[in-house]
Amino acid sequence: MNNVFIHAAGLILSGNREVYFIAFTSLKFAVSSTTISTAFAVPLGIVLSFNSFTGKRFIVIILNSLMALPTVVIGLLLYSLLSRSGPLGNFRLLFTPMAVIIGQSILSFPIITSFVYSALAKTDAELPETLETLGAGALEKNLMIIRESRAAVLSAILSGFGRVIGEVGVSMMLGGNIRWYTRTITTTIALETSKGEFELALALGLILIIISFVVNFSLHMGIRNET
Amino acid sequence: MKVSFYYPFRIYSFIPHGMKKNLTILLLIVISAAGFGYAGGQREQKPRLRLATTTSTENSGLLGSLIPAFEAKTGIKVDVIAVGTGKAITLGENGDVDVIMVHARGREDRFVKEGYGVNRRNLMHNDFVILGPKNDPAGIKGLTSAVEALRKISTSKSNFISRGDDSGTNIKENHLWKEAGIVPSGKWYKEAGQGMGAVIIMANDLKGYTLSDRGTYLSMKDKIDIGILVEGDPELYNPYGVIAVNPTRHKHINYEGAMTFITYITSKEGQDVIRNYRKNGKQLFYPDVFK
Amino acid sequence: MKHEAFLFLNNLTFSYEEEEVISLKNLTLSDSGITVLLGPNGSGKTTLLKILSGLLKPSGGILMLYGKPVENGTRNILRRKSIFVHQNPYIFSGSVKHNIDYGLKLKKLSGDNRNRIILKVLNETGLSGFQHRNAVRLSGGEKQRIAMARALAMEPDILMLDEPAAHMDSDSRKAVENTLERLSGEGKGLIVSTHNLAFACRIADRIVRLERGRLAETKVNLFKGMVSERDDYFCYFKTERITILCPPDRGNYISAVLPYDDVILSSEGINASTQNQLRGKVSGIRKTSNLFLVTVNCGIPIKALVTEKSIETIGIVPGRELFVSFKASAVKLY
Repeated sequence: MNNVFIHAAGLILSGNREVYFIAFTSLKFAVSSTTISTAFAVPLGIVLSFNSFTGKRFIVIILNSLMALPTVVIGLLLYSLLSRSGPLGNFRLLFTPMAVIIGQSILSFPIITSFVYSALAKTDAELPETLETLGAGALEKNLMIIRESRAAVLSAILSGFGRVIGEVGVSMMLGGNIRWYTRTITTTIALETSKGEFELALALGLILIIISFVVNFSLHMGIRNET
Repeated sequence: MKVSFYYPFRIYSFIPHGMKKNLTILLLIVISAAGFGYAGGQREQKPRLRLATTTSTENSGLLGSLIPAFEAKTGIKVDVIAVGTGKAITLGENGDVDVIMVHARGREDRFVKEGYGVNRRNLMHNDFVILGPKNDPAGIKGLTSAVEALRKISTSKSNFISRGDDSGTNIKENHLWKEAGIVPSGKWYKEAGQGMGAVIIMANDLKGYTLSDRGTYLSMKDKIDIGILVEGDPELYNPYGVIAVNPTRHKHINYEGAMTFITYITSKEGQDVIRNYRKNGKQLFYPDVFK
Repeated sequence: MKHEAFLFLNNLTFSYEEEEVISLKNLTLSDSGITVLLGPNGSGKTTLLKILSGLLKPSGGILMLYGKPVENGTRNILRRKSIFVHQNPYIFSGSVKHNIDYGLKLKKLSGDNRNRIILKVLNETGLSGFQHRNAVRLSGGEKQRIAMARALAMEPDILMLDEPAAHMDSDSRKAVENTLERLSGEGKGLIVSTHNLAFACRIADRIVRLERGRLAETKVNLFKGMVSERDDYFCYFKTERITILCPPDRGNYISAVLPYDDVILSSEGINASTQNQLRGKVSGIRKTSNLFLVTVNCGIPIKALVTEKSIETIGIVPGRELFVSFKASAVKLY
């Protein structure tokens, strides 16, 4: 097994073009999808945190259930929607990067929403009223609430990011693991493992760990330095 | 008391200056710009061609020679989706791919007969082999009948690893069990539900038998202890076919690209690429059009 | 320009989860001086203040601002004129200056203007020199004053302060009292809620009692002034027009409270242990549930509760001249 590790390290250090392309593809998908779901999840999390209305509890339960949904199930549901013979087939999205990004957005949406909701539910109820009384409009108020709870919101977003960068079901089923196109770290690991080729799989696994560490570390340091 | 209700999507004409310093927001903007910039940047002149094929052709590395040669000649970019034969046929039926390259003759004929595919061509062949441990507990080494070999494995209750994934190899294996008049079940019969490479590794670890295409076996030969025990039976013949998805069923199908692809790989030039492909110095596939 | 009828409300109700937590028949609030909403916890003080600062929408009834009804379209005007400060204010992370600057930036004021206002409100709240301090790390009393400064910077007509002195030690409470006095002295209108009678009496120009969301009779006369002299027997509490004899005490008081029940009305002067005796004309008679509330103007209005029988025997009618007597020991100083 030692040889495998040396080989894996060699693949990373020698700047193997395909290894880096795959890592970059994973990063692109995860960043794009997390950004999209954040744009919807954070406002919804805020609405859930600072309002009471009928059906709110139901929404929270649904979101929590969706968090536990296996990625292949979401992949399968979306496959049947996006397939050419499915209802959304005309958009020709299946096996494209956009399909993966959509799938991953849906995957991270409930996590980010729920985490933002539970984080903000703990912040003071005084905050929104203070902003209102000082004359903040809806958008300004939300921006300030996010700013005031940025550490919690950030870790919610990072949880969403973590879920998508490490998932294989959606990427495989909606992206099709197409080389130089939709092949990501996780689909490559799945493919290479099935071929019995562990070097590339391991190299990419290491890169995945490094990406997660760097992303988490830099964002947390950013927050810390600011306050 | 939380009673007031407000709407997060109402657009206000200005953003507080305090946000300028906010690293978090800034980061998000940079990240999203990068994300969307990327999503918008994927454009090509010719429509991409989608090929669903089996893991064996992908894993053997043949497509790594065939596809670049085709792309260089025609300028058509090919997206290879490597799945089991069963799944590849389903993708074709749903219109999710433009052309399929598989190895299960009976299913292929049904696919065409039911109107999902057109212009089926024989492409190439290799053969299946039965792999097993050196001590050969079932005593099948040197048998010329694959069916007979499976009978012996079954009676001796030796470990047998099945792909169990509706791949071409799995379909062939099931066909052989049926010929032998056996419904395999019991602890010795293990359905892995995995690719050929993973199944060979499992068989190696469990000192069991398995059915494999010769190509994948040759590509892994150096890493394993199990070897070929049965080969050469006509039943183990493994022909590959290529079929265009019927454009009258799915109007989005890139039929022109599919036919360009079929024409190329059945041409002298394409067939030579198949013939000349070597893995560890061994030929893996034998062209069927220009023999 | 000060208005006596800054806010007027009539049959105002507010329901939360089907329960009517506020129901007010009739109330007029001024934007000058300090009005105290006095009531126990849960009496609806906070909810009322939030309604009066436009944060909550009443469920029913009329709310008028300077004679104009406050409706969905005009609630923003109310919000600008009346700023709410929480009991435990939320302090934005960052500097004191950042806290105050937030609302000013929303108003799109220029940097020079903002700095001028920040310095002014810090001075008004006794926080001069605090602008670059980390706001979150300051003490509870200081945070309270940051919140006041933040609200004052919006230049409202009136400040709504919810329990500004709750959970504070006496020194911090003193600082808050001083701040309120100073603001009031500079002409800022304040409505302050509290459950603390002593605190209410010290700072209030007017007291509005709230019980279970309903207006309750105050049942005390409230006089503002100071102790002018002392001797062995009495404190002499001097208001604008009259001087009241009170029990001897050493404190530094600014309010005198006299319950309606302890005021005796008579047609002749009486010679008893009632050390305070004043003359005045009846300016109002109002029937409460089973008694009559009589207001006698003795330079300042003094109210007394009497029975119907007394009204008849003494012959109390508006304009009638009467003697008003009460014991020095009935007066409580705050």
